[in-house]
Amino acid sequence: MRRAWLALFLCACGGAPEYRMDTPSGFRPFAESDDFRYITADGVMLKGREVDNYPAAALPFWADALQRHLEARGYVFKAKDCFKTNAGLDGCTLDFVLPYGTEDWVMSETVFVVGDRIVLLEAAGPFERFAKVEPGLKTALKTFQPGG
Amino acid sequence: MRALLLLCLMLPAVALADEPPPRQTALTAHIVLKVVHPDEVRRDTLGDVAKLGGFPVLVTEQQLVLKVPPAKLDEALATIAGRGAVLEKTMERNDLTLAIAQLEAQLRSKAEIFGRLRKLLDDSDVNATLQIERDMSQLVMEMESLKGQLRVQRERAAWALIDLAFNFRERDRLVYVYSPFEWINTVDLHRFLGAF
Repeated sequence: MRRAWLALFLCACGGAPEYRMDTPSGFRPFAESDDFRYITADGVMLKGREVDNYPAAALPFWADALQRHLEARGYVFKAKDCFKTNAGLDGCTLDFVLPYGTEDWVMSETVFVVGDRIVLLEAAGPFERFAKVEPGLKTALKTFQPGG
Repeated sequence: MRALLLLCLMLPAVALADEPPPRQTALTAHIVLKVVHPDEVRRDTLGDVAKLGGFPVLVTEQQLVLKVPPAKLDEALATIAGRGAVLEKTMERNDLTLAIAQLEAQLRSKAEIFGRLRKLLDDSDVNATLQIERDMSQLVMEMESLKGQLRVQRERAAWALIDLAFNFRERDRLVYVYSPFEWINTVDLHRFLGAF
């Protein structure tokens, strides 16, 4: 009974949605955490979050807006890869490179538009280390299911 | 008729004399190339450039400065681009024709003055000879300096420069820009790392 109340409470508070995705090669999930978080041994990080789809717009609109904004900030656009997940959901991955400390880092933003919410899967790491796990990450992204 | 024929024969010579000298241009390419294995790419790039008739000027862990024949610049850039992700690429083209022509003219005129001074030496008394020798020494110094500048400018025109960096040169390139879309303002590497 107590568990049911807890579940109801979490639901009412907008608890973390149950995203599902195959673990990308080289990554390990934070299994005990409510967050959707993964990390590699050498520190490449992946995290999921979501925001309101407001004003309501489709994926190409948000991908375009995000690219323009980050380029205006000084992030260097590297690549854009729009794809369909195995479940038929459209997603776009935009990769940027920027200096961070003494290294150049990749900031990768994968955007899914799911009704009135936008799901963001954000990954970042030093360029050389990110490049090694990038193929596995791309494969795993195709298995993503936003739940909810 | 003979005059017309003579004019026709002279025309090509006149045209050749009026033809401007070829442009002397210094080409410089600045590239930021991201690669997974910089050591391998550095070694392979040096090999590629050598095959194109070029050579390295500077080799460090983070940077290569290369000289290639101007005619091979495009080929060299295409080869380099194929070895990684080109994040930045800028081309500089400086026309050196005027600078070289001015240096050549200055050198020519100083050489003429030098020649005239040498002729004066034959008919000069001791004081005049000393003065002429001082002037000639000064001219020699000026001509050597001009020759050096001319060599540098001709060298710049003879080789195209490729300045290849494996990391961003400008480290503090990020600026704050406001987006009218609230969530887009939250997309940021520092925020991501802080929230992870």
